[in-house]
Amino acid sequence: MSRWAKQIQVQCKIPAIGIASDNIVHYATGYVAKYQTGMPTRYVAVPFPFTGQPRAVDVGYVTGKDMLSGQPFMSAVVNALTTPLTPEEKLSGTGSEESMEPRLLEPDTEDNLRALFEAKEWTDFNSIILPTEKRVMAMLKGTSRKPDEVVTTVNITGGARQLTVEKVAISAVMAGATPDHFPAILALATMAPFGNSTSSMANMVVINGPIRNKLNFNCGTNATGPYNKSNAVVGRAYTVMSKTAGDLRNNVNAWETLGSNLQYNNICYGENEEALPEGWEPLHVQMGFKVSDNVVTVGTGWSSIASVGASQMLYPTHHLMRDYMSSFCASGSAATIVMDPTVAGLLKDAHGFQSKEQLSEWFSQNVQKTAGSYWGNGVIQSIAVPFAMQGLEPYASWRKLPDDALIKPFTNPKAIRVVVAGGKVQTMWFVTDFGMRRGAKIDDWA
Amino acid sequence: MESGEKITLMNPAITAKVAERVPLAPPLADLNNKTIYMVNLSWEGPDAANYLYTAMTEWLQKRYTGVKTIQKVTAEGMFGGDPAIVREVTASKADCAIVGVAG
Repeated sequence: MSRWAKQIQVQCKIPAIGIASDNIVHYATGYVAKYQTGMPTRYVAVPFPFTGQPRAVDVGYVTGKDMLSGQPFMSAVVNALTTPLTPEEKLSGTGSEESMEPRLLEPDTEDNLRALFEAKEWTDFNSIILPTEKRVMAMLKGTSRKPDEVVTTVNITGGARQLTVEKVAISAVMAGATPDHFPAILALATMAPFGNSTSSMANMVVINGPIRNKLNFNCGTNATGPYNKSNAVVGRAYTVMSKTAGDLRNNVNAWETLGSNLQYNNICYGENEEALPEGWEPLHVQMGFKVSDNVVTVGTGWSSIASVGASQMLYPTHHLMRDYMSSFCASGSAATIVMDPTVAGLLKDAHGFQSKEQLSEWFSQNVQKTAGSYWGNGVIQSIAVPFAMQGLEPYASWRKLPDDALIKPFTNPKAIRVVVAGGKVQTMWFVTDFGMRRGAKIDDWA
Repeated sequence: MESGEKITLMNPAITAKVAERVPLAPPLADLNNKTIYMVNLSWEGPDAANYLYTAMTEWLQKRYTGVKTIQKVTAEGMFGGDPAIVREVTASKADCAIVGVAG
């Protein structure tokens, strides 16, 4: 919103103010103005929640108070458009870098430094390995890349922070990783920071390729549970680097209302490639990599639903998966199904799915939900309503349907991913709404 | 490491660049006979902002002579750009704009 207000003021040369809900208005006037737009846009604020209310409630805000200044709302609007600019609002020019972050922290006791790391929110508040220079130098031996090489510039919430190989090494040490893990963590760093939204996002990290066995990533029993060091530390490193490189701090620029417990480890596991049914390719091969490539893939979404019980012939597994998927918003047609090898075997042998692609295509053709349920989701409202208003299909046609009409919202089978993991102990599966990005090659960071 | 012994650690934080400062556009003297663009970013749908903007229009028209509002829903929602709206606002010689509503 601040970008919009800035664009109008700069290009049209007229005053433009913002109206935000009081849940994020301080973020807009503070962090965003400082690190993203450089413009102290004037805001007025309505109470939150703003959407999902009866019309009378929204209309009533006009005669209520501005949640930012406490003035009557419309007086605040008029004042924001007519009050002369303050000297602060007239400032222009290149912003100086915020206080330069030194490479080394001031020497202090372990207790005080641990307290500092927590006060700065650099950790996940579980105990960390303290990043001494010696430990970080040892971590850097895990790659041929130079310490000052920039892996990515993190600018999602502004600040253009340059995440270097050395900074990633610091996070890797803090998370408890060893130099062997470092190439995978660097590849993961190309996709930092992780998903962060008021809607409380979660992430999934999948490892493919021979490195799974070399570093003993768990792909079998308890693949997504707390029973393996590589899964634990690589997944945790993604959180630590996201928080430090993204400067993510609670109620400063991390606004996930419920948060997600999955962010402690980001569901990091390896695909059980050795247990794939014949004809079912590993995730990274589906994405165009070679079987021999080592690849890390990140998915982002919100929800995961477990099958709870074993697969039954009474109601075929893929039908139950289909039913569960119908509860997802289907934003971007994204879904990821994680299944035990025994489930993959059943789907192939008992139900005829010769490849992951066939299964994804079946879901795309068979998952249905009502138009009312589809449009009733806030994410869909924010993303797909604009598509519909531009006349893009199928959204434009779906928007004209009655609420009880059925649609097939997973329009792109390639966005429906299937990953096989687990120890063949139970015919279990998870369906999730995670959207998988293209993976990053770990070997490039060795 | 013994408690009490001072140690040196590497800093995980990264220097951030503060955005280049851009001044606000000059405000108006008053709203009489002014054209106000009300840009609806369609956050979680366009309805709520439409309700608010319509009520705001009624309030303004009761108090300011000749004030005119134009409500416009962005084509790409909150996260995209919409050059057409910026061109339209410029061409219309609008006097000011209100952008919202997001939460």
